[in-house]
Amino acid sequence: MDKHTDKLALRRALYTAPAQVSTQQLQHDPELQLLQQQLLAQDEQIKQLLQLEVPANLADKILLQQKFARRSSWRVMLAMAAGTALFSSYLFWQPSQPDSDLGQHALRHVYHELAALKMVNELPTNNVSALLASIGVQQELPLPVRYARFCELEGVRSLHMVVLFEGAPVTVFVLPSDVAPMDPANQQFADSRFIGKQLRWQQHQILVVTEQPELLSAFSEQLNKLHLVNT
Amino acid sequence: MFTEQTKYEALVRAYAPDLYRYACWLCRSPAVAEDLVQETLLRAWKNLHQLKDAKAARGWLLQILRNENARRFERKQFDYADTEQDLLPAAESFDPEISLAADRLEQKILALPEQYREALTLQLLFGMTGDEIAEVTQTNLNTVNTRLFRARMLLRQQLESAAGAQHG
Repeated sequence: MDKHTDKLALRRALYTAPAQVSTQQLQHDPELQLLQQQLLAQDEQIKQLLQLEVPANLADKILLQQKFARRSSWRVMLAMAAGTALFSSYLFWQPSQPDSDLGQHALRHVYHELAALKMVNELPTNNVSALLASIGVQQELPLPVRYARFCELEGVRSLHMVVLFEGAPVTVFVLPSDVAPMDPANQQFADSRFIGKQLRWQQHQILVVTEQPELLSAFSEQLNKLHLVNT
Repeated sequence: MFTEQTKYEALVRAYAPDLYRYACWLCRSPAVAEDLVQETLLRAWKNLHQLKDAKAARGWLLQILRNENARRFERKQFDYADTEQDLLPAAESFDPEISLAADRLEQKILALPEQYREALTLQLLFGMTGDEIAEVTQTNLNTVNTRLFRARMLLRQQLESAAGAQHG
């Protein structure tokens, strides 16, 4: 390395991290020594600026919020467990009405809860598994679940979930096992925005609704590979 | 033996202040920064089981914060142009000249491209090495070094130019 290249490399090193360059490396170059002093002084000024005043009790506020979130999460879980205990034995054992137009009800329900598609936080796996187990599904859904609650689809109690699949939200309704399968001719349904399909998941009927037609078959194929669904 | 809650409280008390400072310089708004830190630490609590090594806590939290910040942009809940505020606290000025110089430097830092500003903040606020910055920002050491080089070069050029204009 010639002297000029060496000087350029040292200058670059000074701009990258002035405190990391030893004074010995610069002992024969007053110009670079001066540059180091100036950059170190500037770094010191920046460090002082970076030390912004932190809002009082920031940590306490966060811990308080966490405690509320934890409590409400337990409340939600308890409420869900209690609700499930009370209703699952009743609703899921009622003979449900086969509904030839269930697909259209599913679409209307998706519109009714459009906000569910915008959820961004993943629900804890344990919560989702508990909900699924409460309706007799013992297998985990191997996808991030962002929304899950029990709803009624035209009198049929179902678990309404929004899962993230290939970067897009996909709505899944899990219906009770005794709901009669839809007419094969109506197992796929759609409107101008959404497209849906009825599949089977273990003993349950499920309705899958998405805005992207290609996702519907990909979703079905992926679950088939996992031996979860028999179409 | 530490419970999960004890571990979490220690994490919050140790890192919340610096996370807040980093967030301020990242998103350029104290109000957004406070929300961001709260969201970051709530997410950290939900995923605390992922943190196996206390030494990795700082990098882990910074990565969560960066992800939360990106998520905010996706959700477009905030219009940063509207929420930008002066970062310097409205404390009394001891010396008007020093205050003016600091204010000028602050504006120049805030005007740096985000990636340069972030690398400089991680280096000078947390004392992180180039490799550590590369890990947090999910890039390589050469890129980090380039960002640091350009950040200081730009600051120096702009401050010199501002000083020249003042005296010229």
